[in-house]
Amino acid sequence: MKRKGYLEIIRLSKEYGEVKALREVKLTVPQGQWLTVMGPSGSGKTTLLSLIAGLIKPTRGKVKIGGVDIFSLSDNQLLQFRREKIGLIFQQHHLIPYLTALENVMLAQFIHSLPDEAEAIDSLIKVGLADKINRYPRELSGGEQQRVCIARALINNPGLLLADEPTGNLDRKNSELVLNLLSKLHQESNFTIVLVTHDPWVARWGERIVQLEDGKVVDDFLVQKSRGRKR
Amino acid sequence: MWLRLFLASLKRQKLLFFLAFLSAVTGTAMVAGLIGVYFEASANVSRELRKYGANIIVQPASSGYLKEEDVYKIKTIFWRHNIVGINPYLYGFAEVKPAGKKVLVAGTWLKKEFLTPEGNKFVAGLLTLNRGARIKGKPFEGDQGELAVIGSSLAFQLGLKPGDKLVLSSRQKEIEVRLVGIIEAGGYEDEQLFLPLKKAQHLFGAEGKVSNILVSAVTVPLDEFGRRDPKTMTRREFEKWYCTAYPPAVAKQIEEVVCGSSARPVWQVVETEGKVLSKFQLVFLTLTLLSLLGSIVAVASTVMAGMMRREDEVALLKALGASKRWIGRLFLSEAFFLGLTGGLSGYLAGILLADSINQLVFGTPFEGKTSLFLLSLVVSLVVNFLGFLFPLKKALSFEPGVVLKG
Repeated sequence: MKRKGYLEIIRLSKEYGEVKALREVKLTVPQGQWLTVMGPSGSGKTTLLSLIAGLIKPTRGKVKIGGVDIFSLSDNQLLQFRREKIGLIFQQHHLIPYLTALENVMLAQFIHSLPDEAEAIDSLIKVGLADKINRYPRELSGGEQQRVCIARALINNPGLLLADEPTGNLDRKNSELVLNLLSKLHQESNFTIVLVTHDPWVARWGERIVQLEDGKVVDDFLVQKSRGRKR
Repeated sequence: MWLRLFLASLKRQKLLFFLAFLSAVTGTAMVAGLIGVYFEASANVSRELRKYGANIIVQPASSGYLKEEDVYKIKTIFWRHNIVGINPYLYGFAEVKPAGKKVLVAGTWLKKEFLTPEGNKFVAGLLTLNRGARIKGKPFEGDQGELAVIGSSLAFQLGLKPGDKLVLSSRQKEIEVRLVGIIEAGGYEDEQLFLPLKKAQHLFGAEGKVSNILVSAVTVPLDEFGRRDPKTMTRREFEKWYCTAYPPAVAKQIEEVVCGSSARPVWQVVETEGKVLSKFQLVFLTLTLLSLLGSIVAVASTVMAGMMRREDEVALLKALGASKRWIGRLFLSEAFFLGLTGGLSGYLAGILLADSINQLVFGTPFEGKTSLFLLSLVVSLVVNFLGFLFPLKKALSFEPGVVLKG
């Protein structure tokens, strides 16, 4: 049976002047699916992710999340939509440097609605940082910082998690920790994931892989291997 | 959470905030100090200029005399606190014996102290009206006594010196006085013989009378409105004119208390002073505005440097769904804090600056401390808000997608 599309990307194009970063991309991602977008540098992976997040506007095309065409929303409606429906994880573990791990997670709650310290602590415990909730980002390792980012991205229970090279700055051991954690949380909560990577080893944690080249989808297939297996 | 966020930001960015704070304090102190000096210095410069002669002359409206008792009423007008010098004169000619020459005799006060109706001590007389006048010997005080002071030119012509005894003869009386000093004022005073007012009234048989009164009043430079004829004004315009220390307005008020008088500004003095004051005010205003601009640039560049370091933070907040208004509130609360603390510190530094300038230039302490407090706060808040506004606007225009990509 065909699963209903939670994320629908309809003929999406993005041009930066003469440069065509994305060309007529079409994708349908069912609710709860872990989609990995792969491709070499400059293939348009991050542009696609930024468009799905509504961080940039497309030249043409639509992005629908849960049936909502996000670019038909006003700026404020789009911000509110992003706050409520989307969680973001970046390659460079962007955390506010002068806030502790706990405060960084609470910040996302605060922007969303009201901070709940107990819930924020709970989320940090879930990502294995129970003893480091009051540490500043500079006092945490790269892997730990990324786990704070995961906790922050999921604290408002988004339907869609977007991760841009989440293990790009981590060694294999920490990458595995982070991916296992994501995998566990994904199984527990069944949110949809779109993860961008250029690393095939990371890509195999997902259920489906889309290959981008020169801004176009050149391959789209389901992963046959069991999730979590090291390459 | 807001406070937590704000305090954490302050705590972790001490150097940036210290530099921005320093810019705010320096700027506020400069602006507040200069504005403080600007307002006080206008009055101080005017007061300083008033030490060198009268700027209002009061004469009888028709022929005759003014009443001596009305002289004291000049310190009761609306602008009484601006009256810094009063000097009545009674003029007449008398023959000086034994020289046998007729000279102009001026009955006056060289230095006379009296109490105003408010109970304040006021020193009137030629020596307070014209601080440039020099007396060799000893001036007489009050308006009694058998003493006289002679103008330097007249003393030279008649070959007189302090200690000489003179007999003065008018058509009415003959009196004997002792010369106690020679006055040199560099003007018509050097050609006259000065007697205490009461003595001259006795000599000329004009008890309780004066010929004219010279007044020195601290005034504001005349503008077009100040020059208008009050008869052509509406009631509201007249009230505004009357309650501004224009020389003609002060003169009009004097006219109202001195019976049968005609008071008018000494136009040459008034115009010259007005020009000096206007230029002085323009220079100070320019300096103040330049300081204000400098402060805004200093705060803006410090904040801008900080914002550049925080562009990731702004982009992240935007990516997390924070609205521009939300982010603006966060950063402007930092501007408000800096404005408040910078304003308070700038106020203290501004007072010190204004006080030092006042002491150095005018030898008087700075008075307007309370008014400067609000001014410092407003200046500091404005400087900080403007300083934050441009960098903040720039930071808010960052595309989070581009910035976060790194």
